[in-house]
Amino acid sequence: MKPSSLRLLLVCTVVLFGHVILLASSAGGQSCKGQGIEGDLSGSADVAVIVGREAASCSSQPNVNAAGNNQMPRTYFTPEITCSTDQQAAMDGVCAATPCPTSFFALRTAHFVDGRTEPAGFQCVTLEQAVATPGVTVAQVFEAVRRVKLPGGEIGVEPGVRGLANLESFFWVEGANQEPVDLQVGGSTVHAEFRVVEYRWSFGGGSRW
Amino acid sequence: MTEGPGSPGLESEVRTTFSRRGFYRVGVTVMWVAEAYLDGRRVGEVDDLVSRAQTTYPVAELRTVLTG
Repeated sequence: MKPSSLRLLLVCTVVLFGHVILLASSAGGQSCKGQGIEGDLSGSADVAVIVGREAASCSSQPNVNAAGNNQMPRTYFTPEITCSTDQQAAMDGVCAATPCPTSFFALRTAHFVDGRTEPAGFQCVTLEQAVATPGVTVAQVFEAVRRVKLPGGEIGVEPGVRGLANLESFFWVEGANQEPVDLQVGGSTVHAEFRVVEYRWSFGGGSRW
Repeated sequence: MTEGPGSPGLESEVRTTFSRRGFYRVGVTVMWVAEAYLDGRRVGEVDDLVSRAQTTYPVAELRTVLTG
C-alpha cells in the first residue's frame, strides 16, 4: 500500500473512532477545551490501530531548559496539518468527525537529536500552538504564505469588442498562474506551491448605454 | 471548476447570455490553495486564498423594425 493510501486510511480510521476518543477524553476532563488530545497511529496493509489519550499539554512548544531559556530541543515534534485549515470546509468533509472539533487534526513527526525522524501519532492543535520547527509556528508559516500577492489574471472574451443581447458570450481567464515562492520566516525557508481550485464568475446587472 | 450564473466550460471558461443591452461589470474571483513546506518538510495546505480580475463588457442589441 502506498504511503498516501495508508495516510488516508489512518485519517478515515480516526474519523471512525473519533467520537469514542472524544467521549473518553471528556470523561477524563480536558485541560484545553477539546484541543488536548493526542494519540498513536500504527498500521500495516489494510489494518490501522489508533490509541488516543488526553495530552499532557496542549502545546507542542519546543523544550525549554530549567533556566527558562529557549534552546534547540533534544527531541521535538512537528505537526502536519492533515485536515483543511478552513474549519467550515473541514466540517463539510472527511475531517468533520476527527477528535478535534475546535482545532486541527495533525500527524506528528518526532525529530531526534541524531537527525532521525519517525511518525509520532497525531495531535489536535491550533495553528498558534503547532510548532513547524523550533521558533516558528505553523501560524507564522501560513501567514507568510497568505501574504503572497496572487495574480488575478486578465479576462478574455469573445465576441471581443462588444457582446450582443441574446447571443452567447465566452469568458475566460489568462495569466492566473503563480510560480512557487520561497519566503524567509524566522531563519527558515518556507516554500509554497500554488494552484487554482475554482473560478467564480459574476456578470453584474448591466447599466443602460 | 467554474461557478456562477454562466455555463462552465473547460478550465476557467464560462459562457453566458445577456438578455438586454448595457454595460456589464464582469468579474472573476480565482480561488487558490497552497502547499506549504518548511525547510523541505510539508507543513500543510493553506486554503481560502483569492485573487480577482474585473472588466466592463458592453452588450448591444439588435432590433428589427418592420416598415411599409
